[in-house]
This record gives sequence, structure tokens and C-alpha cells, in this order.
Amino acid sequence: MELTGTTTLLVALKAEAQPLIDHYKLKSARQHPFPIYANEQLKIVITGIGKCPSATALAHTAAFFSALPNHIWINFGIAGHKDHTIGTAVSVSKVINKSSQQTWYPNLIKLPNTLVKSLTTYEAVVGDYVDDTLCDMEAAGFMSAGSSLHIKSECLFVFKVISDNKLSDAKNITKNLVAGLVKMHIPTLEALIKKAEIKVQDARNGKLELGSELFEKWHFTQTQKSQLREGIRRFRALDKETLWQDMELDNCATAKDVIENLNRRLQKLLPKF
Amino acid sequence: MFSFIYVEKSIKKHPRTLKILSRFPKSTVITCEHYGEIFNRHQQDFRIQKKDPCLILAEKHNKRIMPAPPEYGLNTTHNYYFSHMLNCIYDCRYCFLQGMFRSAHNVIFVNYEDFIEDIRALAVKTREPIWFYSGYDCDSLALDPITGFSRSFIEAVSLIDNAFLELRTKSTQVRKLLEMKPRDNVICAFSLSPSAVIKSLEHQTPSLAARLSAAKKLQLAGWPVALRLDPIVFVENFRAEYKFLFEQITEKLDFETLHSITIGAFRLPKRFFKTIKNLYPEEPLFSSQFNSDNGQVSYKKSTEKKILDWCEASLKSRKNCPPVYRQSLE
Ligand code: SF4
Repeated sequence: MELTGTTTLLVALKAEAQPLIDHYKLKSARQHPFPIYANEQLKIVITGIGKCPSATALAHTAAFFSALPNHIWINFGIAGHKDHTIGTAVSVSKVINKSSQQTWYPNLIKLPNTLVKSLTTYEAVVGDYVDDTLCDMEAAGFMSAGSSLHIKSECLFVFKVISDNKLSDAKNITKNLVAGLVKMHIPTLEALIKKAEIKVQDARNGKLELGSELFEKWHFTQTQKSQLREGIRRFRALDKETLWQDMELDNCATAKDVIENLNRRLQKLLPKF
Repeated sequence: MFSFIYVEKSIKKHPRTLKILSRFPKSTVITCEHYGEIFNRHQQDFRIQKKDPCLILAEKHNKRIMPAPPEYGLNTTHNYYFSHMLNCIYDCRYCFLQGMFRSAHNVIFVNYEDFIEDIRALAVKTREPIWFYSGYDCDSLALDPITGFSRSFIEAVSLIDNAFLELRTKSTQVRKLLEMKPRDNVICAFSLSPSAVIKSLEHQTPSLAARLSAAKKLQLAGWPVALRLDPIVFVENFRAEYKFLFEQITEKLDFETLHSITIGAFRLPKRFFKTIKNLYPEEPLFSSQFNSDNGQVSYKKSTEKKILDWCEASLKSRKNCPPVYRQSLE
């Protein structure tokens, strides 16, 4: 299965992923080294528990599957907090790695009925809930890998649902509870994905592809290719009505002639407002 | 206006922080250690952030007042600039801040008193006039109702005999100034462009008519007003567009009492130009015929000269023209 898509969710547990797999009718794309479920827009990667698996899964997915520029990455899952009610949705504003005290600031988008809080990533399950932050075991791995891989910070999100607190600790978490919590917040997650997509889509300036017919007719060196690309960019920006290919190129004997022809046309164009 | 506001821990209780936060009751406030944790990190994208920038409240610890670039002054010797803010709520496509910063969040430095102390310290070092330009890394007045910037700085600078303060703006936020008595050493400098340029390049800024009306109000109240026609953009129908602008200026403002007019053709440091062009490859302005030398991208020298010569002559041909200064790289 060809993996495309514009958004990837990284979740630790199959139980967290299953309601989403069902909701989005995702198909199993591969099982190793990380199970991945996908449709055309969305991928879910099941990372396993812990910082390292989370970091490795992000690195693996980013490296092996071609992603559009500004691909959205969301670390989604359950987390604990001393006081907040089970089922509360939280957009994470700051991720703290408990062991190193390193911090990251994931991107934030205003979402309905969603708290905004810091989160601390621990090495193991927490029983005492001392800090006024959420606690999990993955987010720091996710953020650390995202930043090492030079993923834009605008494209990294951490979104959690409270699954345990002082009154009902992590021992009480069951598959059914997790499924219920995730299902409850699918609309919010959907809103996050939609808003994030809208924000990044027009900044996806892919490299301008040059038609192969050009290269059949003339031989362009690498430098000439980049001159041509820049010339075409300028032409398209300055003259939105004419196709640059409509220029008379038939008389051009060489690639150099093509570029000179284009440049002569550009000299006559001024920005029109 | 701002969904999220980051506040440095050390200034969480600063009176100016509290005042600013009180203007945004619906925003979510997030504490950080230093604004640099959020602002201008590697791997940030100005264009994406610009869609929904955050506000950051911070403290500026050093380099508060900087020597102005050589072409910045009005043929004066002692020129400094400062920025109580980084970035701007407007979105001018040519703005060099897009090339300078990777981040489009708006930073407000709340420790005005330290800036003012630095201004005083520089001013006592000379008896000659000393100019302080605000609005270099931001628009001076766009957020004035929230920042209270103008009142704090004007009151302080007007007490310094040899100091002059220029507030450069495209905004119409002059209410605070109108509430104060005018000062001879505080100049409100409006950046103007033809309406067509404003519409195409100066996104989210007030219209030309609104800027002229704000400038007129200040003139009537007795404030020195200056005009900054910079950058001048070489567009199709250049002469007609700029001629009409000059006509509107003379018609709507008290032309002869203007403090000064500066003119400068579009130019950007090369590395900023490259960054901005990559952010907005579809923008016609960045596809103009430019020259690139001495680390600057600008019109060809001959074109730049023609632009500035024509603008200067056209302005000076009008009755009682105030002093016109060129802002160019030479
Ligand atoms: S008003 Fe000035 S600072 Fe603001 S975006 Fe425009 S050029 Fe930049």
C-alpha cells in the first residue's frame, strides 16, 4: 500500500488507536517495525509505550514514507493528572522530560472544551501525581525526535485525554475505558487535524517541477535548470494570464537560448497591482 | 486577537504584564522561562505562524538601544533605534521582519523603564541632537492601546532636552497621543503608499485615507507629523500611482508644516530577500528585475535613481514642500 497523507497520529497503544482505526476505516498498511494503519489522508502509527519507541516510530515514519512538506504530526493518547476529571481533553503547551528537564513547546490550536496544560514525560507509570502537569511516557520522545528531524514546530502537536488521577489511578485503566475516552474526543481531534491542515496548506511550496519535454529537446546543466526554474517562477508570478510555454521557443537552438528568451520576456514585466 | 499568550515567569507579576493580560481575558496564558524558547527557534515557519500568531510578554535584558543603520537618519549625526516589540500585527509582504525572524509571534518587552534609562544614558553623552527611532522591528503604534507605549516613552523623552523621538507607524492608533499635549521633539511618522500598493502588499493595514485622517488629527492637535514613503515600489503605472498619492497628501494634510518626508526605493538585505521569496514564491514583487550586490537586493542603480529623482522632483514641485530626504544604500 502506497502511504501518502498529510497527517500522522502517533499513539502508544493499540487500544488508543482502535476507535480511530474504526472511525476512519483505516487499513493495515504494515506491521513491522511499527504497526501502521492508513487511508489517503491519515496514518496512525502504534509506537508502543515509552519515550524511545515513540521517538523511533516518528523517525522511522518520517524517514521511510514520503511526506509532503508541512506534514502534521500529532502525539495522541491518554495521560494522567492529579486533579483533572477523567475524560478531559488537553492540548499540551509544554513538554518536560522528567529525567533531563529538557523542554519543548508543541504547537497549539484553540479547540472547544479543551484545556491547555504542560505535560511531564516520565520513565515509568506515576503513582503520586505530584506536579500540576499531565504525566505520560511518550511525549518527550516524540518532541525530541521531531526537533532532531527538523520538523517544523508548527507541525508538531501533543493532544491527550485524561485517563487517571488521584482518585482513580493508572491501575484502573482498562481497554474499554481507553476506547470510550478516545471515541468521546474524535470530534475534537478531527477539529485539530482540520485546523492544522488549513494553517499549513498554503505554505506547502513544493519545488517547481519542470516538464520532461523540455529536457528531451534541450540539454540543461544543473545551473541552467535552476535558472530556468527561477525564471519560470518569476514569469508565473508576474503574468498570471500567459503560460510561459506559450513563448516562442521553436527558434531556440540551445538551453541557453531558452533561458535568454525567458529573461527577455521577464525584463518587460512589472508587478501589476 | 491572540488565542495564546506566553509570559516569561520573571515578569508574570509586572504591572504592565497584568495590564496587558487584562485586555485579553479569553486568551490562554502559558508560562515560559525565556521568550527565546518560543520565539525564533530553528524549524519555525513565519508564513504558518503569521496565520495565527501568539503574543509573548518578555523582558529585554540587553541591546535595548542600538545604533541606527547609516541610511536611517535625517542627515543627523546621532541616530539610534529601539524596539519595545518584535514583529507586527500587520502583514506587509515586503516587510524585512519576515526575513529576519523565523517566527511571526508578537513579542512585547514590558520593561519600558529600562529602555528609557538607556535612552537617558545615551542622551547625556552629547549636547547635540540625538534621535531615537521606534518602529524598526515593529509598528510603533499598532498595539498602542494595549501596550501604553506612546505615553510612557513620550513623557520620558520629552523631558530630555536634546532627544528626539520618532514613532513610525502605519496605524491609526493616535488616540493616546491626542490625549497628551503635543511635544516638539516627538515626531509621528506615517508610512504611506499608493492605495493599490496598500491593497496588494500591505495586508491588514489601515487604508491610505484612514492613515491620512489620523495624521491630520495629529497635525490639528499640534504634533509634528512626518511622512515615510519607503519602500517605494516600481509597479506598472508607477508615476500615475505615486502622483495620485502625492495629490492626496497635499490635499488631505497641511503639507507645508510636515516635519519631513523621506523617500526610499524597495531594498532588502540579500539573505532576507531570499528567505522571504521562498516564503512567498508566488508574490509578483519578488519577481521584479532586481540587482543584487553588496549583500543587498534592490532595483538597478539607474532605476532606483530614476524612481527617487522623479519622486523628489514631483514632491518639491508642490508649493511649500517640507524637507525631503532620501533613504538609499549609497
Ligand atoms: S507595518 Fe512595518 S513592521 Fe508591520 S508588517 Fe508592515 S512593514 Fe512590517
